[in-house]
Parts: sequence; C-alpha cells; structure tokens
Amino acid sequence: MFGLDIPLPDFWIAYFFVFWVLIGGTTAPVMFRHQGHPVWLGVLTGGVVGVISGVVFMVLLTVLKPLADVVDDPFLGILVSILISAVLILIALGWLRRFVPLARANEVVTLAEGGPRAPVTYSTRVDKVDPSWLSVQGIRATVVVMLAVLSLIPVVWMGMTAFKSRADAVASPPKVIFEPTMEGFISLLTKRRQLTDAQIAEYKQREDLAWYDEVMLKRGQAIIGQSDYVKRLRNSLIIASVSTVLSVTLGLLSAYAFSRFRIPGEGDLLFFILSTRMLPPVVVTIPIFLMYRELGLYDTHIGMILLYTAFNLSFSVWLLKGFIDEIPREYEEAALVDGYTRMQAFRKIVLPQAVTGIAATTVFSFIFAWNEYAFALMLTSDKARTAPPSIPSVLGTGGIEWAAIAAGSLGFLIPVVIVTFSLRRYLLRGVTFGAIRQG
Amino acid sequence: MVRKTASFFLLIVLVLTLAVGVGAVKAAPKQQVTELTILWAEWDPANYLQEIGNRYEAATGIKVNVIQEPWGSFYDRMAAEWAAKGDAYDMVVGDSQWIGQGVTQGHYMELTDFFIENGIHETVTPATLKFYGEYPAGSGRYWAYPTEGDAVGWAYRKDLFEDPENQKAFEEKYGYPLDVPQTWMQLRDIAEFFTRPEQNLYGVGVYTQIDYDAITMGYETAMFSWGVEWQDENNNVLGVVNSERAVEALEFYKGLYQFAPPGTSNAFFAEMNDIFINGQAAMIMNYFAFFPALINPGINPYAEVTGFFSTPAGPYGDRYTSLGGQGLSVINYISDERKQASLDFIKWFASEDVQRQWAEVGGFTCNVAVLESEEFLNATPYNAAFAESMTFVKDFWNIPEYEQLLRPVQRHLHPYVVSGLGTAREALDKIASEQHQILVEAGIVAE
Amino acid sequence: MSQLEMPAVAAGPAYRRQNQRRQMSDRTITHLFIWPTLILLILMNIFPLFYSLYLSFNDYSVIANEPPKWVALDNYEKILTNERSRYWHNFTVTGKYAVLSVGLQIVVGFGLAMLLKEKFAGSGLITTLILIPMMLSPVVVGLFWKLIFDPSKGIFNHLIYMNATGGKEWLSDPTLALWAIVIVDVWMWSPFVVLLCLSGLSAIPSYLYEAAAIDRASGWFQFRRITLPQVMPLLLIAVLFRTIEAFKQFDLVMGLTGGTPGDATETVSVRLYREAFLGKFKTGESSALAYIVLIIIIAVSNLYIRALNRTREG
Repeated sequence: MFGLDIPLPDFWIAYFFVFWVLIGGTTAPVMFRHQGHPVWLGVLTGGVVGVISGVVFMVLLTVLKPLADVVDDPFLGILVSILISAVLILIALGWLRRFVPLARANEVVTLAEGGPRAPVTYSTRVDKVDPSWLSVQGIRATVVVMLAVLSLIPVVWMGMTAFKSRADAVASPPKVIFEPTMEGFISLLTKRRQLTDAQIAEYKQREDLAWYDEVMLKRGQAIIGQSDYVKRLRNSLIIASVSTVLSVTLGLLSAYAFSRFRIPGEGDLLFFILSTRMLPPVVVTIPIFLMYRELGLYDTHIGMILLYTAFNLSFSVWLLKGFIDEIPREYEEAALVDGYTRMQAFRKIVLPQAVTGIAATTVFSFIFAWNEYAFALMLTSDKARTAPPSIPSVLGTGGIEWAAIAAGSLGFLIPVVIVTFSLRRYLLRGVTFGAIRQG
Repeated sequence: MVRKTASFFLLIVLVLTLAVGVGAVKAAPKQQVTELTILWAEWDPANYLQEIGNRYEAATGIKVNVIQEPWGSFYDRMAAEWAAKGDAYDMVVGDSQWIGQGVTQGHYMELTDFFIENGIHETVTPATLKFYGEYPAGSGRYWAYPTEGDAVGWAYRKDLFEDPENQKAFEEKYGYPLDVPQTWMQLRDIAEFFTRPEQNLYGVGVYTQIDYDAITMGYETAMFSWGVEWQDENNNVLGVVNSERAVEALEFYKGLYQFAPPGTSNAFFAEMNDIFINGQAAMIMNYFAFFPALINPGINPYAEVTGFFSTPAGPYGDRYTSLGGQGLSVINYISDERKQASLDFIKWFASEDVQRQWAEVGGFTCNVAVLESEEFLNATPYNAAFAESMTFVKDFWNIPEYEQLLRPVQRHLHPYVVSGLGTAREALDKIASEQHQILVEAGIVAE
Repeated sequence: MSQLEMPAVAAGPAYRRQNQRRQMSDRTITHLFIWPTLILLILMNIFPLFYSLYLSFNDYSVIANEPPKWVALDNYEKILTNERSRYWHNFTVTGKYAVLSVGLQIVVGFGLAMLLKEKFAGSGLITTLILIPMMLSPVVVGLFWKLIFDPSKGIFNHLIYMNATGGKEWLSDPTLALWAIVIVDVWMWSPFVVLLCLSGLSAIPSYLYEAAAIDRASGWFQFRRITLPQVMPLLLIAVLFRTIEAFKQFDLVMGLTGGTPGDATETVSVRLYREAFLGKFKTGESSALAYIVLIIIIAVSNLYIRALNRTREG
C-alpha cells in the first residue's frame, strides 16, 4: 500500500485505521468544545487527526520492522512494535492538544477561577468536566470497542461459515469474500440423498421444486425429509426451560427458608448443596445411567429435566439466598402484623424484591442446561436427545459439513442470547448480591 | 411432628411415583410388530437405509426407523444397550470388529440357518461374508448380513497427474512415467513430487486421528501390504506386530505423513475429504463410503478431475487393503415376533432387486450379482476400484477384546507418526507387549 | 451467615388464632420449602455418589455381564503408582491448564472490567456483546476453534501471522496445543470474570473515591487501596468457579484436540471420559480416578473459601 511495505495483513491495516479514527473522533471534540469551538469542527478535525495518526502508525510500524525481526516469533515482534508505535502516537496527540486554539479567551479565565483543585469528573454540565479526563474516557471506550470487535471475530466467522458452500468453508487460505449460499442451513434441516446424473436431469424437469430443492440440486442431492435438528432443538427448549423454571422455583423456596427460618445443621446442609456442584459430570454419569435404566428415565424428557434441575439447584440456592438475605426482614414483619400470612408475605413482599436475583439465576441456569453436553450424550438416545451432542456430529456427505455446524450453532445461540439480553438489566446487580454473600 | 413426617413422606412418594410411573408407561408390551428400529452411526448411508426402509413400509406397512448415533458414541451406545440386555433396537448395523463380542456374549442372534434356508450367504461376496458375517473365522456360522461394504482406497487429482509438465519433470527426476502408483514406493515418490508448500500443495493425506481406530486403519493398510498381520496362526503377537517388516512399514507410513498438508495431525475421513476439496492434496487415502462427495461438482470443485485407485502393492509383492464397513445383525434380546419381523426385513433387503436399489441410492452393496454387473461398475468412477479392493481386504482383530487391543496401537502410533517421538521399533515393541498382555489375560495365548 | 442465627419472626398469638384455619405454621413452610430441593439433590447426587464410591473399590465394567469384584484399594493404587498408565501426566496437564487459563482470565477479565467501569454511549450493548462467547456451547466452541486454528484452513494464523506458511501448527505442537486450549478458554470465560468484576466495581461506594480525591491520593493508591480490596472477594469467587470448571473441563478439550498430540493435552477429565466410556468402560478404575479428582476439587475449593473469608474479615 502506497509503496510502503507494511508488515500487517489487510485486515489489521483496516482495523487500526478504524481505531485511530475513533480515537481522534472521541478525543478531539472534547478538546474543541472545551476551547469553545462548535462540536462539528471537533469531529471533523478528529477524523482528520485519526487518519493522519493511522498513516503515521503504519509508517512507524514499517520503520520498526527491523526491530520486530529481532524478536524470535514474528507475532510477538509485531505486537511489540504495535505497542511502541501506539504509545508514541498517543503521547504525541496528548502533546498536540495544547495547540487547539481558544475561541473566546475570556470564558476560559472564568473556568480557571475557583472550584475544586482536583479535576472534576462528575458533573451534569458537560463543559465543567475536566477535558483530559473526558478524552481519556474516549480512548478507554475506543479500546473497549475495538477489543470487543476482536473477541467477536470467531462468532462473526461462524456466522460467515454458515453461509459458505462446502468447498469455501474448508478453502485454503480461508475465504473472507465468498458467494453466500443457504446450503448449510438446508443441510442442517433436511435429510438428503445423492442423485445419479440421469436422475438429476429428470429432476430438473420438474416444476414443483421449492427454492431449497433447487439449492441442493446444485449439489446433486434430493431432499428426502426433515432432519433431527428441529426435534432436538425442541427437546433442548423443553428441557432447558422447564429445568430452569424448576431449579429457580425450588431454589427460591429453599433459599427463602434458609434465609428466614432457623434450620438445624444449616451450614452443613448448605455446604452439601454446594458440593453437588463440584462433581465432575463423568463421575456420576454411570451410576445415574444405571439408575435411570432401572427407573425408565433413560432417554426421557423428565429424566433430563430432573437431572439439570438438580445440577442447577446448588447454584440457584446459593445465589438466591445471598440475595434474599439482603431484603430487610422488617418489611415482612410489618406485613405479618398487617394480617398477611407467611405465604402472602413471601409472594407480595419478597418475590418482587428478589426479581433481580431471580433473573440472574435464570440466565446462568438456562445457559448451563442449554449447553450441557456430557450427560445429554450418555443419558439420551433419540427421543429426548438435546442439540449439543448432535450439532458436532452433523456429518454431511463424506465429511464434516462446517456450514451446517455453524448454522446449527447460530440457531442454537439465538435463544440463549434472547434470554440473556432480555434479562441483562438484572444481570450485574444479581451477580453482585448473590456472589458477595456467598461463602 | 406427625404432620412434618407425613409431609416428608408424601413428597418422597410423589417423586417416586413420578419416576416409576414414567417407567411403567414405557414398558408396555407390544404384540403386533408395526415398527422396526435399526441403530446405525450418524452419516449419509444411514439416510439411504432410511430411504430403503421407507420403501419397505410402502410395501408391507411396517415402519422402519433408522436411529443415528454419532460415530464417537456409536459403540458406547450399543455396548450400554447390550449390557442392559435392552430391546430398544431390533437390529444394528454394527462395525465389523464388533462381531466377536456380539457373538460370544450372546448379543447377536444366529442367522446361519436363516441364511442357508434362503440362500442368502451365496448372494454376497465371500470376502464380505467372511469379515462382516462369519464368526469365528471359517466356522460357517453367520451372524450378520453384509450391508455396507467398505475398504480403504485412494483418490487422486487427474489434472495434476496428466499435466505434461508434471509428467516430464517427474520422469526426469524418478526415471519412470508419472501414473497411478502400482507400488507403495511409487506412491511415496509421487507424494514427494507433489509436495510444494509454496503452492499450498501437498503430496498425500493419511489417517492420523487418535480416537477410535483411525490411525490404526491407515497404518495397517501399509502393514498388510508389507505382508505383516496382526497375529500369526496361533494368535501370537510377539515378533509379529513388531517384526522387521512391520517396523519398515511403520517408518514408511511416517514418511508419508511428511508429505501431508499441515493441520492433518489428528485427521480421519472428514479431514481427508476436506484437504482434497480445498485442493491441498494431490492424493488422499479414504474409505470408499466417503468418495461420493468427491465426484459431486456441487461439493468438490475438482470433481471432474478426480480419479480413484485401489491400494497399491507392497515391496514384497503383497497387496491388501484394510476393511471398513458393517453388517446388519439382529439383537438377541427382542421378542420372537420382533425377531421374525427383523428376519423378514433382512430377507427382503437381501434380495437382488432391493440390493440394486440400495446401490442406486448410495449404499455400497455386497451383493455379487450387483457388484459384477456392468451397470454398477460404470455407475461411478470409484466403483471399479471398490469392486477390486473388496477382493483383497483384511481386517483388524474381531475377537471380543478387539477394543482393548486397539487402544495400545492408537496410543503408541500417534506420538511416533505425528510428533516423531521415539522410534518405530520402540512403538511397535510397546504395542506388541501390551497386546500380548491383553491376550494372555483373555486366555487366548499362553504366557 | 451469622445474621441468620436470628430467630424467625414469631407472630402474635391473637393474630395466630385468627388465621389458624388457612395459615400454615412456619415449620410446615420450612419443610415444604426445603424438602423438595433436598430430596431431589439426595436422589440425584447421594445415590450416584455412594454408588461410584462403592464401584471405585471394585473391579467392574458396566458393559460386562459380571458383578463387581471387590478389590479394595487396587484401583487407587494403580492410578497413583502405576508409571505406565501415565495418570500423573493427566494431572500435570490439568494443573498447567488450570493455572494458565484461570490466571489469564483474571487478568483479561479484570482489565476489561476496569475499561468498562465508566459508562459511555453504547457501553451496555458492548457489555452484552462481550458476553456472547460465554453463551456458546463448549463442545461447539471446541469444534469450531479447531477449524479456526487449522494452519491452512483456519483464520487464526492468517490473522496473527502474515501468511499460512509462516504460521504455527497450533494443535499438533505439544506445547502450543495446550496454549491453544488456554486461548479458547480465556476467550470463552473471561466474560464471566468481567461480569463478576463489573458487579464488584459498581458496588464500590463512590464516596470512597471522593474522599481519596479530596486527599489528593494518586490513581495507583486509589486502585491499590480502594478498587482492589473491594473487588478481591469477587475475583476469588471467579477463581474458585473457574478452577472447579477447569478440573471438570471436558467438552472443550474433546472438541478441540481430543487430548492430542499424543496425550499432550489430555486433561484429567478427558482421561476420565476415555477410561469410563469410549469402548473401555473401566467403570471401577474410572470411579476411583473421579474420586481423586473430587477430593482435589474439594481441597482446592476449601483453600479458596478460606482465603475468601480472610479477605472479608480483613
């Protein structure tokens, strides 16, 4: 690029340009506003500064390349030179900010008089807040956003793979630009069979082909039925949601009892409950397998629900107990005096206040039950089999159908994301209360 | 206090009724057989079998259900079912090595009389009957109907082989023309010739996976071709598994791995097809069951220029390849009515007409008449190589202890072949001594 | 737990009489509330636990039609002393893996939480996006990262190196393979630490910082004396949970490497699975191994819980 031998793949060049533009765009407006300029001027300047920083960054990287080569590992070498260049540019930017001219000199004078000595970091008036603190916040936010982008690359890659054809999915070198196809989704949802050339020709004549038939026909395959994926997803939904509801309900009840009533041997009971979480699943799989066979629970929804409920209970009792401990018992006492029964007090006073904890517990229980693999593999066969043991084994014609696996994983991710996102307001607080009180 | 105890018991009773109740419902006896359940691994041929099953339902009204279990837990699922003497499945399309355990532990129903009565044993090729159906070897007793014939074969890129420049350069370097290899030595030369990392092209893909039997299947293909067996006539392994020739074969196999694309350090059939589809490999070894994907232009961009050959001969003139594939067995623990219904299905399935349909939908038939027909041989580019391979197949142990015997092989081959730890001699010595120990414990050989 | 020793609220006698017909006593409620949980846990845990303890003293295979044969401590002796079966190797691998991945998760998770501490436009969305890896099924993650790490088909090498040929074979190099697992584990579970740390950070009363600001305390001092001590209990809990999980870790490793190359990444849980299933079905021996793992986990947990209690008191 521009005759420069930048020691970075294109992806990273784009990545760092975005990074510098964001840095410029978040810090310059702060400085400009502080000096009394309109914000748009700041944003504009910020963008320009960002692009210039990006170019300087690339030049620095190229200059530092010999230094990077000294380090044994090419990756570490580049990492070091990236860090050095970034720090240099940030220092330069910090120094350059004092050259932002003043719009109206008198305003700054008033600002400089009086007020606290330490920089003000909280204020309802944006212009009162210390500008360097604000721009550090801008840099901080930029770094977080860029890191989040980085951590989402595998997920995005999974999303891309879901739309790739078989050959594109295993292409070497990996393909970023490809022709999207629905093959993966269709292979995931259907059973197919291979057609001979004569049959393909005959098939092509038919008028009643749906679009998905057409897609698979390109691979010379005819759809012969629905795959098990839908059934297994449904099993997952039933088992995960029922067991989550059960474990949260039971957990809530016992957490309340542990929190409010005197129970003999309470500490031991609580430790017993926690210890059930420490078992490696493989330890108990065989006894449970034998037990389930005897009881006829093997490969049943009820069996899996009971199992996941039990496994999540320890967690939910601990989390919820910590939370209920936080609710002042005076509220209930007052309610009892007012003529409420214990049950009514529990329902009308405790429940509404425990919502946060319940939400957090629900998220964690659901994630566990939804993704559990080892038990599902050994304790179910067909009727109650959930999705996790079957997704990785989507074997297409003579090999792993990566697109179908990616599609399956995406479809499988959606419910859990929905649950988490809809309860996310409670998540942080829920964890605080539960976790801090544990132990 | 009474109330407390009462409520406690009430709860226990509730939970127990819930549990037992579910069991009771499930165990309701069935008189009329309206449904047959067949267990197989989760892969395409099972879908084909389901389709054949649908035709059976159309013909007789009996529903056929093919349950697919992932390969990784296929054996576990069956073994657990056997241990419980369960009747969840009527039939299983079991791996060829399972037969010893199925027979000696009484899990499989004997089919000898049924085969002879209906002449079924004469409709399939002798090799497949021997490996998929008969136990003990040579006894004339049959336990499974050879359903999916399979063996290790090779796919290659015709465009690379037929390129005049490649042919010229190859002949200059090795002194003989570039063609489908006739011996393992030629295969090695060709692999070396096509290994060009700067073009992202590699010579050959070979099995290396540590789970189940993958790397063993790859190595034994070479081992058999060096004239080595897993045992001598007396089932002795010492000096057999670790013979001079075996060491040579293993060193050779490791040599081939040098020409494999990077990233195939834990590879089996799926990865073999992948490196072929993405154009990284000039040749791959793989089971025939996975070749249909390679001639499919919708999957493999090189489909038009893909050729197939059967395993070449070894340096001492032996020519063998390792066997895959499965036979259909009837589970011994089902009711007599269901056994009869299962036999009826097998009888129908084994008929030449249905076997022709089986081959047509994608199954690898073992039926002699179908295999020999011109129509079959020309149906696909690999059918000829398949038919040829099925005449010189050999298999790993198939006694009940086969799984135990397999473990040391997998465990010691992988570090040597992939990571280059130790020597071939050391690896094979370890395998031989551990296998010997297992055989002694099983009472098969004397100390 | 001490605040719980307070006696339960007793309602006045008059009130009690008035509601007697429809009101259950506190004791009944206690039983009604606690027993379902306990019964379920006892049924699902106590029996399996004792049964596998019993099996660990027996020579038994669940698929053989033979009753368990009492061998006392043979299984344990075999695991702890037999050189050839290389169980110690599995423990070493697990230990290395646990230390590396938990350590890195704490550093990365805490760092991210510090960055996310102050709200900015879209910080809520970013926080939830960061949580996504945690919501994926570990077995799928393992499988998919296998593709990502592939030296010729994967993007990992293409992202961190110039090209495929300069890259490393992550999953077939004995040293790198463990690092590969650690990288994936850190990617997947750092969000959990972020979540815990964020909730800890948000619970720090702001007057502490204000007081520090008035005293003109340095940023480093604030971090060391206010932030760190306040977040410490949560960090310890994160360490506790992640360590337990590291010992239980199985699906991720199974999907990613299956223990390869050789047995370089065979953690104790993978080994356990191999012995207990996968055609071996050494039920007795694997139960013994499982018990050893359980004892280690309980010991480690106790150490952490003790440390946790110390930080709270101190």
